[in-house]
Amino acid sequence: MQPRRFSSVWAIPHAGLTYRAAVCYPYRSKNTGSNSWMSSKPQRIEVVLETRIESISLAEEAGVRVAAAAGFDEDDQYKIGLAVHEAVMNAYQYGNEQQFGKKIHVAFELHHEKLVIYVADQGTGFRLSDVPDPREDENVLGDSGRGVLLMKAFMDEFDVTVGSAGGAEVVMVKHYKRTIPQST
Amino acid sequence: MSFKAASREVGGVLVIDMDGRITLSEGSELLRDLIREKLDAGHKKIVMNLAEISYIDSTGLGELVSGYRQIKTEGGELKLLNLNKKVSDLLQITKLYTVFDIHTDEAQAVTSFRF
Repeated sequence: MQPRRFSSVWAIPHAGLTYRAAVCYPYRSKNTGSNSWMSSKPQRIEVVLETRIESISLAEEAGVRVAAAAGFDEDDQYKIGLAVHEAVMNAYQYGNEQQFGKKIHVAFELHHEKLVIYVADQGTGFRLSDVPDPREDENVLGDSGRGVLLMKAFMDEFDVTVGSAGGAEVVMVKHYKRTIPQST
Repeated sequence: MSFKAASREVGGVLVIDMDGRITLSEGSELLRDLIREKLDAGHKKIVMNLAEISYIDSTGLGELVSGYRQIKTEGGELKLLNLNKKVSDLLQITKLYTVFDIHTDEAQAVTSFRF
């Protein structure tokens, strides 16, 4: 059987979306949860977005579609979509400071055991240790600062590094849930 | 789905039924304007019914908190009603369930105001 391609992931008409490397193969069968295709080399999908508000929901939708195609259940699709939404929103607002000429780079990497998502902006970067905890008493009534907390909560791993353009690069990992075979 | 809101009065309390998404691009600005409009119209007891809210991001959460502060500053109270699992989880993660008075029954929410 011909493996299903990810090309439909990017069939989203929008002037703000440009793309590279739009084809990938799913690792897991949605029906069985088993690995239907394996390789030591991860498949990578990259998206370059304009710094505009529409890019946030567009990236979220792409994240949900990639997660669905990779075999994540609906709950995880929502969580991955929200994590991408928050990361791109941070890049739009704080990293690129809503400057239209700057780009937001989003990449999805499908590994054997996990989905890795990178979101990079062209700002000046930030240190994760400088982000205050919005759950602290002095911050809980603040208007902002909850995005990082939500990304950490919804993904299995979360970090912020320096991207190739010198801005912040958010790196998030979601592991596939293991299916335990039923004994007969 | 884009954000929609409809208001009705129940026993002297303004109940706002909300629908759709509250995010940076959809709903957060409308929600801010709506709260301002209701406060200007003299409403101090407000219940936000979030039963049909399908999605909230961190900006939307911030807007709810901002509304809570604003209403309180002007001598009013804000209650939340009918949170679905997604919204409830977000309030748990962010510890905002300690800030808001949250109800699952409209009649109980309406009678819970202290003034």
